[in-house]
Amino acid sequence: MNKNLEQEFVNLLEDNQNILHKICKLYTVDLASHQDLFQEMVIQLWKSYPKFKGDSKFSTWAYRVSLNTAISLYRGKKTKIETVDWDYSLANIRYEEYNSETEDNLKHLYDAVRQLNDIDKALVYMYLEDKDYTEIAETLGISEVNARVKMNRIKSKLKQMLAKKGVV
Amino acid sequence: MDELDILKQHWKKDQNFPKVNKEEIRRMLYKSSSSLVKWIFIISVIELFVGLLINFLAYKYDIFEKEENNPFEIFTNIIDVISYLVIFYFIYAFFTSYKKIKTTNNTKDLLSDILFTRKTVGNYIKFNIYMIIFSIGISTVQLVWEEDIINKSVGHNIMFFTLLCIVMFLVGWLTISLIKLYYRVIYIRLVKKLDQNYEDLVKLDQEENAINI
Repeated sequence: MNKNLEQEFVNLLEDNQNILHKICKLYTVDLASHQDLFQEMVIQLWKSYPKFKGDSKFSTWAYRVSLNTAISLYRGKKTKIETVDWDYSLANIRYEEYNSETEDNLKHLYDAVRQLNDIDKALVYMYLEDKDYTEIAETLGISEVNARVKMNRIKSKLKQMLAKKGVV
Repeated sequence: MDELDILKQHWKKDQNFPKVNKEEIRRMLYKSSSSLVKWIFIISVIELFVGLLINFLAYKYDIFEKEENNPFEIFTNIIDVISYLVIFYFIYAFFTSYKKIKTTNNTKDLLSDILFTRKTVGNYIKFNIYMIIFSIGISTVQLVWEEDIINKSVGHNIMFFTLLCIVMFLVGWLTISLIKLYYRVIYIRLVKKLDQNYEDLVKLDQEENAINI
């Protein structure tokens, strides 16, 4: 693949990397698997980038491919996979700090979301990203009615989970 | 305000992520993928070609000498041709469905394409199991034929059949158990997560149908 395409992709991805980080935040539990999933998403995005025609926004295309990677392609970090080392001093984030939100309630909320299954997490992700139900349904391949029904169920499920912990 | 809306407020402001720079992204592009689909592809290709190799070797070093007028020869030749055709069909079907797998599809289609690809190889393994059972059957008949039982004593024949049954049963049982064990260890481990996610999506649709009825 030519260098121009590579440069263009790298620039776009650098600007839009938080889309990937946010998905990683819901689908992984530690920094090592976060890195692992992030790298796999980058590889998958790069693989399908030549076919990205620009008829949708880069970010819209990127979150679909990345979500699909998390749901369908990611194996979970069981074996040691060689990942690109990041400069943590720049990131200013340490392993222990992963998932250490300042407010306890928020931490419990994130914990509860992480306990949901992969599909439910995808719905939550898109909800948090303010995607409308037409887009949520289209991304997952379900009907809009189902997306709404499911979202309401997830909300009550989260409420129950938090009530059990005495958070709400 | 419900819980998710509280989360949403924080979510939008959240920028506390490790910043990956251009050089790091560029290096990632040259890393090899460790995705489930890649593993499914590698394992499936190995399985398809091991099947092909076994068939080829079995044909080349036929256990039974090819005698003139052997009534089984035509029969085994037909089976050989059919099994090669079926193997090539499976290889074709596998590659066609593998090429359909695209991360840009919707999640349900993507999962279904991956699972279908793997199922093709699963059916191929099943086909091989039936072929093994079938060849054990043919070998048994062939052994009986060669033993010339009409001219042997009753005692000898009882002994012969008992031994034959035990040996064939053990060979068959062992082969099938090994394949099943392999299947369970490799196949289920690979598709467990995909199966679960696909089931969750299908369940959603079924629930809607139930509501509509």
